[in-house]
Amino acid sequence: MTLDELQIHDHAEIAAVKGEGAIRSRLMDFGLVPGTRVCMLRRAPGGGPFEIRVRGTLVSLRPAEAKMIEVEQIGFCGRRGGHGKGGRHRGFWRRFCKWFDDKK
Amino acid sequence: MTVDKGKIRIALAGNPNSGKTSIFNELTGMSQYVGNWPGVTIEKFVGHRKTGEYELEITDLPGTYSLSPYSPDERVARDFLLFERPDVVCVVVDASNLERNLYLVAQIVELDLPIVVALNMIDIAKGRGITINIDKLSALVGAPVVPTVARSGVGIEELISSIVDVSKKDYCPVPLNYGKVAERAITEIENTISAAPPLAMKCHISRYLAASLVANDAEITSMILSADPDAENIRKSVGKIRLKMETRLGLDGESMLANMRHGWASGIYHEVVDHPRHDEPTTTDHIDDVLLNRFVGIPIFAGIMFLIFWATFTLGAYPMDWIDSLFGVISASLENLMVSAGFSETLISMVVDGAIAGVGGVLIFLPNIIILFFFVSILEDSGYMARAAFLMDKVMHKFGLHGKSFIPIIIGFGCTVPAVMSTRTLENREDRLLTILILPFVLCSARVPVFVLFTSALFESNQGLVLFSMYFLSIAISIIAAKALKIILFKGLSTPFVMELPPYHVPALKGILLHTWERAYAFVKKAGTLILVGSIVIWALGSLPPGAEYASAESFAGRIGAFFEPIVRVFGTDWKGAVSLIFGFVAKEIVVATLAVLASSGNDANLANALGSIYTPLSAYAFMVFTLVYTPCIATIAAIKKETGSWKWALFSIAFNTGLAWILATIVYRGGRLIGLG
Repeated sequence: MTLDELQIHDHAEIAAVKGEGAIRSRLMDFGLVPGTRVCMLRRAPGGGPFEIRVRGTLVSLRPAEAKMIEVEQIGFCGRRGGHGKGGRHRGFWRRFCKWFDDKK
Repeated sequence: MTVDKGKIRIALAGNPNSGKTSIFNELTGMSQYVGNWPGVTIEKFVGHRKTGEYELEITDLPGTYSLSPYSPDERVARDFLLFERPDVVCVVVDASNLERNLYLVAQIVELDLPIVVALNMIDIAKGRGITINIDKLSALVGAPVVPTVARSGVGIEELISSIVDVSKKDYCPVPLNYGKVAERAITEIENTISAAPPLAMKCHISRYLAASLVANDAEITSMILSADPDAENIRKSVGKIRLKMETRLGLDGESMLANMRHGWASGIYHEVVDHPRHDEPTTTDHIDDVLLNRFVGIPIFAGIMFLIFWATFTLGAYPMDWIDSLFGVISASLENLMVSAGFSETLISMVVDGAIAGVGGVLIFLPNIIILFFFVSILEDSGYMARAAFLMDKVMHKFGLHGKSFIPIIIGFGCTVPAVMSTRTLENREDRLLTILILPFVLCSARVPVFVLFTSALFESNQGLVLFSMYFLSIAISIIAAKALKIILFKGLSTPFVMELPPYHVPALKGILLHTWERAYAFVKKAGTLILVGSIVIWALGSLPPGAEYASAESFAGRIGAFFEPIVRVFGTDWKGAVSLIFGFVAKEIVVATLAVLASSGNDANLANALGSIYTPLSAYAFMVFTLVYTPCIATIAAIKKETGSWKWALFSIAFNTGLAWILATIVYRGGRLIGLG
C-alpha cells in the first residue's frame, strides 16, 4: 500500500520511494527512505495534505506525493497505542471519533 | 588553512527553523546588510564581527535540508561552499531535532572544509528531557560542537572562539563511508576525473564530486564536463561505473547516498542521545490538535486572518491619515515659503506636487508594511505559517498555487504592495513568482473608489450587485490567470509541497522587530526611489508644458490621452478617461481625482452627474473592468521588481495586465453593444 492509504495513527515502515527529481529528493531530505518508520497523524480538513511524523519531525505532504511512498503497516502510534496512555477520548467521544475517522 | 591578514571568512549553514538566523543576528548584530545572490532572487545576508585581532566576515547561507541541485536555495548554498571556499563553515543544528539536522552535516562534512557545529536550542532539548553527549558527538562528527541558545545569546562567545581556533588549524572532518561497493565506485570515479588536469586543479574536493557523479547529479556533471575537452569519454566511463554500482546494489546512486547519510545521522544520534524520543505527543502536538482540528482549525485560521487584515488596514488607516496630514502641512508650508522666496510657479509645483507628493506616496505605505510584517513575522517565527499552508493547500493547489500563497492573496484585497512583499514566505521560486504575477488581479482597496463612483453615477439601483460582480470577476480572473500562467510560463511544472511543520516557538521579540524593521527599510530604500521618480514623471506629464493647466488637453498627459483615444474609444471611453487611467498608474485612487479635475466639477455629486452624461451603464462597466485589470500602480511595480530581482517580471505585469484589461473591456463594451445592451 502507499502512504496516502494509511489511516490516522497507523505506524508504518517505508518499503520503497518512487518518483523522481525534485520531489523525490525532497522526500529523501526528510528521511523518507526505505526502512524508515513513519506515523500518520492527520489529514488537512476537507482533504488535502497529510501530516506524518518521521524521525521526530512533523512533515506534511500532498496526496500525490504520499502516493510515491510504498509502506507496510506495522502497528499503531500516537494516541491509539505506542507509549501514549490511550488518549483523551473516552467512551462515547472515543467511539464517535473512531466512527468519524473510519469514515475518512 | 591559511587565514588572510586576520580576516576569517565564515559560512553559516543549517536547516530552516534551526535558529540559524538568530545565530547570525547574534554574531553580526546591526552590521548585517542584505544583497542578492548573483543570478537568483534569494537574499544574501552578510555581516561582520570583530574579535581580538580577527575580523569575521559571516555569510548566511539559505536554510536548506540538504545540498542537492534541485532547488535554487540549495544550489546557492552548495556553490558558495564549493567555489568560495570559506575558511570555516559553522553548521547550526537544532538540538531537539538532531537526527534530521545531521543529514545536512553529513554532506557538509564531505566538502573538505573546517566545520564547527553550533548545537542550538539546547534549552528546548533539555526541556524535552533530551541529553546530548557533546564530546561523543564531536568525536563522531569530527568537529568541535558548541552548545548554544541563540535566542538568549548563550554560547555565542564560545562559538566564536571555537571558530577562530578551527580556522588556525588544519582541521578537516572525516567523510562518511558508503560501504564497499559504493566506495569502490567512488574511488574509480575519483581516478577518472582526476586524470583531467584542469579539474584536478580546480577542486580540492574530488571525493565530493565523485560522490555526486555516483548520484548522477546533473549540475556537477555539467560542471565537470565543461571543464574538460575529454568530456565525452569521462562521461561514458563515469556512467559505466555508476551503472555497475547500481546494478550490484539494486538501488540508484541518489538513494544510496541518502540512505547512507541518514544511516550515519541515525547512528550518531543513537550514540550520543541518552533519551531517544518515544513518539509521545509533545506540546506542539497538543496545540496542533486544536489549530489543525478538522472542525475548528479553519475557523480559527479565518479569525487570525481577519485580525491581521483588520489590524493592518483598519488600524493602519490612522497612521496613514497622520502621514497624509503631515505631508499636507509640509507641502503647504513649503509652498508658502517658495512663493514668498519668489521661485517660479513651475518649480514650486514640481517640488510640492511632484517631489513632496512622491515622497509622501512612498511613506504612506509604511504603516501597512510595518504592521503587516510585524504579524507575518510572528506567524513565521512561531511556526504557525506552516500550519496555515497545510490548511489552505487543497484549495490553492487546485488553482496551481501553493498553500502559502493564501495569505498574500488575502492581503492583496487590502493593498497589493505588502501582499507582494509577503510572498517571501513561499520557499519555492516558481510558486513565489506565480503568486506575485496573480496578485495585481486581486481587487485592492485603492480601486474601490472608482467602482463606487461609477456605480453611484450609473447603477443606482444595483450598486451592491455591480460591486460584487467586480470582486467576483477579480477572483475568477486570478484563478484563470494562475492556471494559464502556470502552463505558459512554467509548463505545468510540479514543485514539491513536502514541508516541515516546525515545533511551535514563542517568537523572540528582538528577532521580530529586527525583521520588521529590515523589511520596512528595504522597501523605502529600494521601492522608494522608483515611486518617487514615477510620481515626478507623471507630474511632469500633467503639468508641462509650462502654462498648461494640470491634466488639461494641452499638457503632455492630455496629448498622450488624445493619442490613445482611438484605443480607448474601443471600450467606450474618451481622452479624459485615458488621462485618468494614465494617472492611475501612480495610484489607483487618483483615477477618481483626475476624472473630477477633467470634468471640472467641484464635488462628487456633480462628478457623478457629469459622468452620467458621458458614460452609459455599459461603457461604465467596461471602464470598471479595465480599471480592475490593467497595470498595477507604481508602488506595486516597484515591489514586484524588488521581490523578483529584475525588471522583466514587473514589465511583464504591466504589459500583460494592461493588454488583458483592454481585451476584456472591449469584449464587455462591444459585445454588449452587439447584444443590444448598449
